[in-house]
Amino acid sequence: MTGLLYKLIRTNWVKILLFFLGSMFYPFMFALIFRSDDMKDDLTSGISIMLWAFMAFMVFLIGGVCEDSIFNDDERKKWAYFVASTPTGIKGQIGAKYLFTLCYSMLTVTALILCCGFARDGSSELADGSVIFIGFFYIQLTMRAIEFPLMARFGSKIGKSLKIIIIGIAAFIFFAYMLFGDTSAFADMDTFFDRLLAALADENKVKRMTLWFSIITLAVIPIYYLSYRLAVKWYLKGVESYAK
Amino acid sequence: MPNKKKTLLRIALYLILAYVPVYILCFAFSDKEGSLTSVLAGNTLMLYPAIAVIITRIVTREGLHNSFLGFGKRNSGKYYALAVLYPIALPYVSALLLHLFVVKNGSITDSAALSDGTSAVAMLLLSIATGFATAVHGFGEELGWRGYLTPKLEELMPAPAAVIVTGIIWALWHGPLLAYGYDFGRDYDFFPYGGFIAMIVMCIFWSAFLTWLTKRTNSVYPAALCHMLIDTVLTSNLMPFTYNANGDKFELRTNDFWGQIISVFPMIIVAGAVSMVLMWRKKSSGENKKALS
Repeated sequence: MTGLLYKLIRTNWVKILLFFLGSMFYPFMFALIFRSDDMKDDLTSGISIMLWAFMAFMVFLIGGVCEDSIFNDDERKKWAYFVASTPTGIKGQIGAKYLFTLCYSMLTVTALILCCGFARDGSSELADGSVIFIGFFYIQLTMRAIEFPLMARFGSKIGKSLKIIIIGIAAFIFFAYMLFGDTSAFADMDTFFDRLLAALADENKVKRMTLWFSIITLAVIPIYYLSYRLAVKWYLKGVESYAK
Repeated sequence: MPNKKKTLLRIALYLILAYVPVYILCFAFSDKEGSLTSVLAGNTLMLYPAIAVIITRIVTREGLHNSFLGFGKRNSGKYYALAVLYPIALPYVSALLLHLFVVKNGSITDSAALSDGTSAVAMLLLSIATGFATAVHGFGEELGWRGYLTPKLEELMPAPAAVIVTGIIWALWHGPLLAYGYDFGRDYDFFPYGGFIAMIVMCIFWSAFLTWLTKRTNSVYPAALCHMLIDTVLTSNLMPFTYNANGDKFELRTNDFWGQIISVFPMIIVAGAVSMVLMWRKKSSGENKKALS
């Protein structure tokens, strides 16, 4: 598997480097702006948290594009059958891509933490964005865990379309709930924030929420592994749908 | 002989590159209380050994030979599992020892951790999630110490000696932080020298355990994961055992420094000693087989 991972990085290193540096450009520029004296008075902890969240979203979105393109980089029947016949086999072929995604996401978290540290050195008012970055790291893994088996089974084009359909269905359910469900909490922003603050003031509720949040977060790791197993199982079926 | 000289030069170059930035940053940005005034400096400290390895390998033209960057031999899964389970068990075994031997008033069941199980479980899961996501920092240190220094020292001395020397060098690398009281605080006799001795002992045994993981898997990643999980899981999960349900700190029979040593060190020492024996035994049996053949 290490050899295939090496091959993957070696053949795509320019793309990986450009994606990584490109995605980190905005956080770095933001960090520079955050440090400037003009911004120090305007930035509160809450605003900086929102800005970190926005930047993390952008960085992981761009990172996701890179991870996807790496996953479908060698969608060729000849290569797929060849690699399936090697001792490393399909497990190695798929495993290398899953490991690459994991390592790339870990590096992104580290780079974002460093950017945040750089910004916070300039202004003590800024909030620490580490928790947000880690949260996005797990969201990223979840997205890839859904997408990769579909891409392995149906090829990249159909796989991606299926992912969009799944997200679309989830969004549709959400909108249907917002239209017909109990939306009293969202009647207006005051009601929403009143309920939110009341929930945060209830210690037991916060504890339960934290517990569920931690369980869901950590559950991503076994889900990611199961996704890998599924992708391995489906790989040869997906090869048939390759154009070349 | 020329090979030994070459190895020594490589080690010297690596150590200069690993030590100098850390010592400069830690002294330049120290708040004299054990922490750093620069967040960025604090966040980068663990990455310098890896940067030092990369530069050393480029300068000496070693390439990636014996770099332990692969994901390990077949059936390495159990060692990865151990790399996760050991840091999880460490705070709980330590808490048990703390309440058996150090805490004067109250039992472990009165502790904040056990009286509020929901928060304790959430804290454990979140600290594991954090450790996993930030494992690159652990990789930063392990690529340097276990992935480069120990194998290089093994070219000059027997494996156990190499593990011990790595432990000492690794402990002294934390020197500026210890000098200001980062790991063990400042409230103990012979400050900061007692802290240095404790750190050396701790690092020798951890070095043995992490080296064993690295050798068994032929990969630096289990050690990196284990290292990062120790950093994120140990303190955050042991702390609630030092307070009672009302949030008051338990009275201790000793000061915090000795409390830490009595509670946390036994498992570190046992794991390190067992790893050392396992490594030695494997090596001896391998040598015997070679001699017989």
